Amino acid sequence: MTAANMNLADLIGLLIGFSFTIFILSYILGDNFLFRFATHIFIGAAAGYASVVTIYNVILPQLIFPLMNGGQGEMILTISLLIPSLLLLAKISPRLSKIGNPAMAILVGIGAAVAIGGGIFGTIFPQVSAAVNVFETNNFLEGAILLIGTFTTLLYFQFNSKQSKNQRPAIVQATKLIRWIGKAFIAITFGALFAGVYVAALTALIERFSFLWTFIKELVLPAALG
Amino acid sequence: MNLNLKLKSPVSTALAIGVGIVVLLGYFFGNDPSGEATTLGLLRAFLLQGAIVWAGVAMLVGIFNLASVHLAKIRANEEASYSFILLITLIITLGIGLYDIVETFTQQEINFQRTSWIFNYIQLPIETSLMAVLAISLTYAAARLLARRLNLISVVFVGVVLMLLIGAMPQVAAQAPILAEIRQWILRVPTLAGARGILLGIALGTIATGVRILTGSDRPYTG
Repeated sequence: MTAANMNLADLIGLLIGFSFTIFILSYILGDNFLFRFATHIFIGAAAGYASVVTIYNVILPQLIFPLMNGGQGEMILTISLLIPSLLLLAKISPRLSKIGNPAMAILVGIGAAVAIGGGIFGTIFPQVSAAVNVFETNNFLEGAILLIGTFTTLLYFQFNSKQSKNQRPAIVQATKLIRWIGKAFIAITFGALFAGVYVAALTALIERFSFLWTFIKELVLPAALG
Repeated sequence: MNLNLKLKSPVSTALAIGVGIVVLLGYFFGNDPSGEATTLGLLRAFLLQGAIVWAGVAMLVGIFNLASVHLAKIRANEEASYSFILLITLIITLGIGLYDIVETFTQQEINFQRTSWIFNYIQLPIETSLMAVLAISLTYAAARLLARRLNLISVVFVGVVLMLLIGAMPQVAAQAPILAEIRQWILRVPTLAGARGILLGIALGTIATGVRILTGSDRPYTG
């Protein structure tokens, strides 16, 4: 990275990137207007970018071009996609918002069905099959820990059981113990996830400091020293 | 028996249930024994393609809503400067993007140089810097956890984090291979068990929510 082999747009871009990096990292000292300025710029740019990607990749090829260039069958299919799309646009206005409800209902219905299908075929079947086969690939102790861990973690999520006054103390104690074991397994899993996210964040921090140092060394110092 | 059913938005509810059942049945009866798509399978494919388009339109509606909320903030003079910055950035990015799209179609050649410039020099540095700030926030959060809630579970959590981080260092793995082995074991056995339980819990919760929508008990689309 030297100023000599860079065009003006890249040079300005690097200066902007350098400034925004400093603005965001200033959050380490506490919430301040530079951090807020950068985050609002980020939200605006991200929303604009997402709109452009949606228009270019979805709206134009699926809704607009088939209407302009498609055959009769394609046009009918596109019109049947266009009507709910127009109804959805009514959601923009609070007064007309109810007109968009049927289109939103279709979207939610499809989403719910896809979520059920994904949950059954993408998670329940593979995970249950892996859980029942733990003894095939692991030694007995590891298999037992895996099975107990899965079982107790799953039981920890059961919030609907009410404790009745007549329940035997032994059962109450056993439930408490099972849930505590589940909690311990969840703590270990979250610890592993935390460590993974922490390493990724640390990598980003190192990359940003490296960028700042390279920018100063290659562009700022040569310009300052003539 | 007096059921006293008061059905709100019957058309929307019927649409959500009907479309959902068609898509769900499409999972099971979408293909005939020879592997050819059945009518149900074709209908499901059409609805899924439609869902992509409608989700795209819904996202544009969401972005328009974001803009109108910030416009209202400017009018109410409530943190107006930040909202103004956000709106200007949104309009500029959208304008440049639309210009790139028009140029791409008029010149018959993909050209998103200007949009890529915004992505590379504004979005990417801010995103990476936010991720970098997360490293400091996470360190602070872990320290606070031990200071505020010192119990066996929090000690296990922090202990696992430290063990995994130390065990991942190449120098440590070379000097004390047992630490690297413990790290591998933690990842292979208890972490996998907990993750599997959490995944199954999430899947069961998702299915329950989906079933509530498909039976009309939950109607998040009304309003």
